[in-house]
Amino acid sequence: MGAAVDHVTPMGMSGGSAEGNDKSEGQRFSCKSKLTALVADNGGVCRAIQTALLRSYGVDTEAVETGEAAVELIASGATFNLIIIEMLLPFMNGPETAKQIRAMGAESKILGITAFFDERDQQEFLAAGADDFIEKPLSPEIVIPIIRELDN
Amino acid sequence: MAGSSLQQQIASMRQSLFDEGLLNEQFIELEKLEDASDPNFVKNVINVFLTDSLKNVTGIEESLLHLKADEPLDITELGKFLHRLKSGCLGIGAKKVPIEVEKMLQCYEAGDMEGMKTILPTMKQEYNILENKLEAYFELLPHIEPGQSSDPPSKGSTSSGE
Repeated sequence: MGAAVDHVTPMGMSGGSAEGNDKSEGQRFSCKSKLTALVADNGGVCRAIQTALLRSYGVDTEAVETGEAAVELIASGATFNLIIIEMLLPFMNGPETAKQIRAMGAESKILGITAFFDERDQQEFLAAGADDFIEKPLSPEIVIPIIRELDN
Repeated sequence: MAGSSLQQQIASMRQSLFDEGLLNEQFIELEKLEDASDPNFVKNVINVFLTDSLKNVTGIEESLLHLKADEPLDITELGKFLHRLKSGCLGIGAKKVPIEVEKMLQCYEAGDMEGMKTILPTMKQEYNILENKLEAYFELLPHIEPGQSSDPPSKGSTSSGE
């Protein structure tokens, strides 16, 4: 059970353009402030895509594979505006991860995310301190309003 | 010219992934994330998807088959395989595979092992079709010369950037 921390490039990806690439809105979108995010997902595909999506909007994003790694990172002093946590992380699950992060006093916006929506999971995540609980995939339609909110 | 012919072939193959219902718009979102700083992003993600999915499909099958051998089933592990498979599929925009996985998850939630076993062959078939098509498509992509595009040469119903 190691704390696997990917600070730079999941799978060799060096990040999207800081100018953003929200072509679905017909214009480039990028956050105005220096925002940071943490993605905690044990799936390589989702970890890479979520990280790339956030980076494409100018969000400085790190990615880890486990809840323990996320907690360790925050315990070491790292702060994030946004934390996206997969429901079914190995060992320490998503809600437990969120609970421990909140217990450390983190005021980040926490988004629980899952491949299979279940109301019990939603209740568990929200009770643990998450601000919202969504179903995958993480899309521009979900991310952009969140970034705008954090930007303001 | 050979280059143009290859482009046409790639564009046609890409379009067929959508036309045959194998992929949805999420794949286009994935393509949008690729840029000059990481020109192999999509291919790398797909490689990870195929590697992880094979493990998950195998894990699902082996977990369910243990029932036949009267071996104890690790139900939690089975659930994790299903979640992880669906997760990866949703990430790349796979369309048919997650439908079957969703059905299996519904059975899983209901404790219906027989239901899951019934759906398993269809799920595997859909995954194999997707796997073969993706491998064939990405096999062609490295052959594009710098400056050439894999975008469809003519207006299509689904293309990157729309």
